[in-house]
Amino acid sequence: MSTTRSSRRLGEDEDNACWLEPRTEGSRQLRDLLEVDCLPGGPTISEVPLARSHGRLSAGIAAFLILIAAAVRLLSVGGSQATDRFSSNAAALRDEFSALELELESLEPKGPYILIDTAENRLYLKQGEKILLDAVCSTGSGRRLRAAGRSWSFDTPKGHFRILSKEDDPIWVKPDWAFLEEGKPVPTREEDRVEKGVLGEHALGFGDGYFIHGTLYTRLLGQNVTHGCIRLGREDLDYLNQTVPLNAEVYIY
Amino acid sequence: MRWALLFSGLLAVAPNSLGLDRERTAQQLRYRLELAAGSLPYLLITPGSTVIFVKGLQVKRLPIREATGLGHGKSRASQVETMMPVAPVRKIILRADEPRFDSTRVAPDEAVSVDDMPKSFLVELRDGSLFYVRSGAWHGVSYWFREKILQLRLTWSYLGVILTGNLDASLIQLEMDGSWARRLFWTLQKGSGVIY
Repeated sequence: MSTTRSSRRLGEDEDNACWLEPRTEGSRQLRDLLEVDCLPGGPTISEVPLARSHGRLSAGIAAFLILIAAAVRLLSVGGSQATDRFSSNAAALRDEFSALELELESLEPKGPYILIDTAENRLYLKQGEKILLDAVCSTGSGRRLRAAGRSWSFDTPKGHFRILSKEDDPIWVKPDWAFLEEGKPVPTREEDRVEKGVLGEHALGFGDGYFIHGTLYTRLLGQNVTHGCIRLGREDLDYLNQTVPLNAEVYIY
Repeated sequence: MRWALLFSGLLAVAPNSLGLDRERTAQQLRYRLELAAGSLPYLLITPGSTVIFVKGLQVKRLPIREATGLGHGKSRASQVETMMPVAPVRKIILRADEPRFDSTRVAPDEAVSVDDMPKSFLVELRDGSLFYVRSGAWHGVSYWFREKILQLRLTWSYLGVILTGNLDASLIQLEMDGSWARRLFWTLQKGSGVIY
C-alpha cells in the first residue's frame, strides 16, 4: 500500500523524488526495505527531509571511503603478512630502543660532574639533573703564540675529561711560552720557573697540563682570557674542590 | 565531519611512515652511542634544534628557525671535514718580539670570543654532505656579498660531490638566530660527529 502511494507520489512529483526512482523489481524491493524506516502515516520515502537522505548518502560514501582507506593501508604493507611483519619489526625496534636507551643511560655520570660552557664562560657543577653550582669562569683566549720556531694555541680543549689531580696551594711551574710571551728568555734552572700564589688556593687537574684553578684577576672572570686553563673565583673554587672527588667527569663544550 | 576525520586519520597515519620514524630514531640512538665512544662533542641535528652531546650527555640545545634538506628516511652520521665561515674568523697571533701583556693578565680585546664567530658558514662532512648555516638577518652589503660568495661555493661543492657519484650526499640548510649560529660554529671543530 505504501509502495503504491510512494510510487504514485514519486511519479507525481519528479522534482522532489528521491534518487531511488523505482524502475525494476529489485529496486522496488530496495525501496520497500527503505520505507520500513518510515512510520505509518509518516512521511514516505519521497517526504523524508532532504538532509536525512543526504546524511544517508554521506554515511554511505564515508563507509565506502573507509573501506578504500583500509584496503590502501593493508596494500601499503603488502597484506596481512606484511602487517604481521610490521608488528614484529615494531616490537624488535621497541626492544632495541629500550636497550639503546639503557646503554646511553649507563654512560651518564653517577656522582657530581662538571660542565664547562666555553662560549658563555660558565661552569656548572651538577649531580643528576640538580645544579649544585653555577659559576662564572674564564676559559681559553684562542690566541696563538709563535716564538723560537715553535707555536702554541691558547684554547680550552673541548670534550670529555676526568679530574686526575687535586692540589692545595698550587705552585705554578711556568712553561716556556709564559716567558716567551713576555719577551723574556726561557730560564735554564727549574727554580726560576716557579711562581707562587697566581693559581689561587686549589688546582684540579684534568690532563695535559690543564687545570681548574683560582685567579688574582677576578675582574676578568666571564671572559676568554686564559691560556687554556679554567679560572674560577675563590668561593666557587673552594666549593668545587670540596664537592668534586678525584675521577669526577668533566664535560667541556 | 567525524567520518572525514576518521578517513583522513586512516590515510595520514600510514603504518610504514610510523615504522620509518621509529627506525630513524633507533638509528640516531645507535649513532649517539657510537659517537659517545669518542671524547669530542658531537651534534644531533633535528628540524627544530641542534643538540650538543659530550660522551652521550646532552649539554646544550641550540634552536633552529628553519631547516631544509633534512631527510625523512634513514638517519645518517658523519664527521666535520672543513668549516668555511662567511668571513675569516679573527685570529690573534702574538710574537715573542712584541710582548704587550704578561702571561697572567690578558686584556679581553686580545682574546677570541664567541662574538667573533660567523653568523653564516658552510660545513663539509666527510660523507660529502654539506650544511649551510645562516642567520637570515640583514648585516649590510658587504656581508650580503660575502654570503652570496659562500652560497656559490656551496653550490659548486655540492655539484662536485654529485659529479663524483656520491648521490647520497645531502645539502642541508639551517636558518638560526645569529647568536645560536655563532655558538654552533664555536662548538664545531674538525672531527666533530654530526648526526642528521
